Amino acid sequence: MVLKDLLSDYGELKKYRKDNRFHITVAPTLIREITSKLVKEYKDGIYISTITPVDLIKEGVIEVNYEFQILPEKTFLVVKTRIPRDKSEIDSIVDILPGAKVLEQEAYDLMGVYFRGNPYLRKPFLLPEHMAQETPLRKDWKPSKR
Amino acid sequence: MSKNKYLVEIPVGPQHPALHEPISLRLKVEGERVVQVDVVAGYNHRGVEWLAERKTFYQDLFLVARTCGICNAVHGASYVQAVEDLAGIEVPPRARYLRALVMELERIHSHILVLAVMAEVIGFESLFMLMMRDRERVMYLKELVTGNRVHADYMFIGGVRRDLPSEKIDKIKKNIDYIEERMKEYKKIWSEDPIILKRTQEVGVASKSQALAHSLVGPVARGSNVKSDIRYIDPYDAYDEIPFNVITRDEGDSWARMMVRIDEVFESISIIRYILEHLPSGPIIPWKNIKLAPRKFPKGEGIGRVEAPRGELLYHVFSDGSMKPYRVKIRTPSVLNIHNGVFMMLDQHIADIPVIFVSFDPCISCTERVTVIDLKTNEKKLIPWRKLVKEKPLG
Repeated sequence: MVLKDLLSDYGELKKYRKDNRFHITVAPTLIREITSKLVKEYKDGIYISTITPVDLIKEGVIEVNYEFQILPEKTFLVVKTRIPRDKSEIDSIVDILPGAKVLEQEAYDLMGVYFRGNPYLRKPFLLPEHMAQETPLRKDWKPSKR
Repeated sequence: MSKNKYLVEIPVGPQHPALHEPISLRLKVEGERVVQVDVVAGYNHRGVEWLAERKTFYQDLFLVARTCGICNAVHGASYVQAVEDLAGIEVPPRARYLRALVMELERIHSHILVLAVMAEVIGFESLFMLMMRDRERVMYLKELVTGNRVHADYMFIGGVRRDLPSEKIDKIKKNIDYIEERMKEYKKIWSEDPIILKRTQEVGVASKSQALAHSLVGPVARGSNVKSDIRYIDPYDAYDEIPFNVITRDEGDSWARMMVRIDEVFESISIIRYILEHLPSGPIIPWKNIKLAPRKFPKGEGIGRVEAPRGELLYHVFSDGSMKPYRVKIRTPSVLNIHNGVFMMLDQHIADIPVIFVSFDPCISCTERVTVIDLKTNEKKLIPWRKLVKEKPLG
């Protein structure tokens, strides 16, 4: 099945400038369902490339971009979702795609997005000890004194 | 859990002369077998993504190239690809070919480096020295094309920063012939030497489905028969016009990953020959003068993906229409390979851990002291190495 038909229930699949790159915006509750569907459809042909959280402070949301590479179709898919800044929580997909482990750890450490159900989350992960409670990639972050 | 009284934790890293990067592996071992591996990272965290949001698009060009010393040209290429994607800038054909030329030179020297480091880890130090000697020729070629031996700073938004005069082409061809001859010799050693085969074959095996589930990229994935090469699945620069093969192997062990790299050096050599013979003429930037390059970029997002020597390198750049990017996401291939690849170390011997780790393309060290965990009381204690060797065996 082609990607467009597979994701037709979830919204419009939009194209980036390059022909093989697409993005779709969905509700945060649908991330696990979409990931499971993709993994089931493209068994042994899909991997998660990265998770990019972006702090949109003016709108009060964090945009989480899940970026997948589908090998048989040579397609790159970005699934976008938005979660509130003050309650930045989303379901983890680490049990569906174990490759998301380090990507979720990094997003939690630097942007403070909590992935419900990921047992590997820890803080600090990349940051030094004295920054354990901080999220430096948020736009309102200010460096603290050591 | 076993009948043994003790589980020993061996911290490997973060500081050691042989380590490429400061990273620490906490191995929990039961006798000689590894039962758990925890990766502790962040010793070298410099906040490049944070810094990139506070500099202009052009200043970032030099910042992102310093993310990695070995593969700096691909970082630049991936970033400029993302910015060009954002702004819709067309790159002239000559610049697209020259970018590919520098990236292939970088792939050759990076692959030779890790092959040499693997030889050193195995204990084959003469091979390490010979390969490092020949790698110097590639560094010379990189200097010839870009002007710098290590940090190329060759990429520019819309093109490249230097043209290639025709008199240099013969020099490149001559040196490439020499490297090809030497690599044939090294391939023979890597495929026949009994010590290399014994140390690397069937060590750290990953199946195809494991490699995909754990998001392994680059030669690590291709060693497990995953045809994952950004040059092939998402062609960029001149790669849609250059003929080349994607090297894969079925074995999935440390040896397969090294052999993929050796064969890729030959592919890179043939790509370079093709580029030198088919180099289009014309400008290297899309504007008459470099000063005409845009200062501001439109609102939106751009994605840059290139096949770095270690695997897929991804840049996701967001812009709010100002002179500075709103967000720059960098996902390097080693993040996935190191953190997600540790499952290959489980149930392996301690002596094989360096081989598995180097086959991902970083490096590892020995240990100075150990932590002993008493499983009855769950108490941890540190024992200095000297005391450990004098005392009677544990367990």
